[in-house]
Amino acid sequence: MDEPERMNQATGELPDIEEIQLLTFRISEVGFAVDTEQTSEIIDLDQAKSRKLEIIRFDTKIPFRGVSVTYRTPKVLMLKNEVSRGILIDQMRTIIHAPLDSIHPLPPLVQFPQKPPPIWGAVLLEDEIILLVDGYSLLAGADVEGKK
Amino acid sequence: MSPETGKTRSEKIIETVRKRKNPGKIIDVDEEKVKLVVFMLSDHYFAFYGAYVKEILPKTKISYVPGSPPFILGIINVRGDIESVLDINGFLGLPLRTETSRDRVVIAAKNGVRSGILVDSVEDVLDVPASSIKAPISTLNEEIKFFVIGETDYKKNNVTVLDVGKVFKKATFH
Repeated sequence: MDEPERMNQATGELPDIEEIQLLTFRISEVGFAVDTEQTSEIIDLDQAKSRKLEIIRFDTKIPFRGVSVTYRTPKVLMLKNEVSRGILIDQMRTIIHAPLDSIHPLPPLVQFPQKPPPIWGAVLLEDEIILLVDGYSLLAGADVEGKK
Repeated sequence: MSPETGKTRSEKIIETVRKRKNPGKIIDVDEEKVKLVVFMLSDHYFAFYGAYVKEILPKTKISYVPGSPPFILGIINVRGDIESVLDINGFLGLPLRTETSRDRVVIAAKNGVRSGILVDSVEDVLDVPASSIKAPISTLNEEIKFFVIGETDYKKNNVTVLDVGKVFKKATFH
């Protein structure tokens, strides 16, 4: 995993960052985004198969209330330093610039127990709530029971 | 002022007038009052102490958070802040929710935890004498009794007063 930027030891803040770039996508009507600092490329499913990559379905790591997810326009998200596997995502949208002030932690009752959590916060995009995904934490998580 | 009661003549007059207007109900003007927010879930009346209710909102778009437990309906945008929304029907042994036009989100906070709770309707916000809240009946289901502070009446309906802190505790350690 990439080293995080050097943090201010006194305040725990990232000193030179005022905004982050987010790659947004949707799966089953839920909006997600991942920090582009984590991403190396987005490739087509066919490309991923021809490269013999392990394709991890997003919903095998985070359940959608037991509902089977249909990927309409699937793409494979490749993370930096992950060369053999990618995350299957859907309905890619835009890259947005999110000021740090626009990013919210998840409310306490919704926070994931894993450290770091696979969904770590939320950002408002034109009144829509977009969930922020940590790709590495997602890959590290156990498969949802019964799903492969 | 009467040396026996310490009340002035006008206070006694007002007390008499109130008693006459509510002959079946003796109102002690000095009695402690508590604010209740009365709401409905599945045709049952419940209430939270008003001190812990911060806002009552019309139902707005709830964004589902995958991976969250079933009683977490999702999160909402409240003037730029993100709040969670709970469905507590399951905690209270009630049937699954059905959407109604009177749905409201009650934003409550206690013991450092804040969240919305989706209810079928908010019926009233009123002050009641603290003494009107009686201990819950002993035959109440143990699982539900955990959340119950007491019971009171509202327009001839039985109202179960819930401890919102215990609701949040259940949601936290589920």
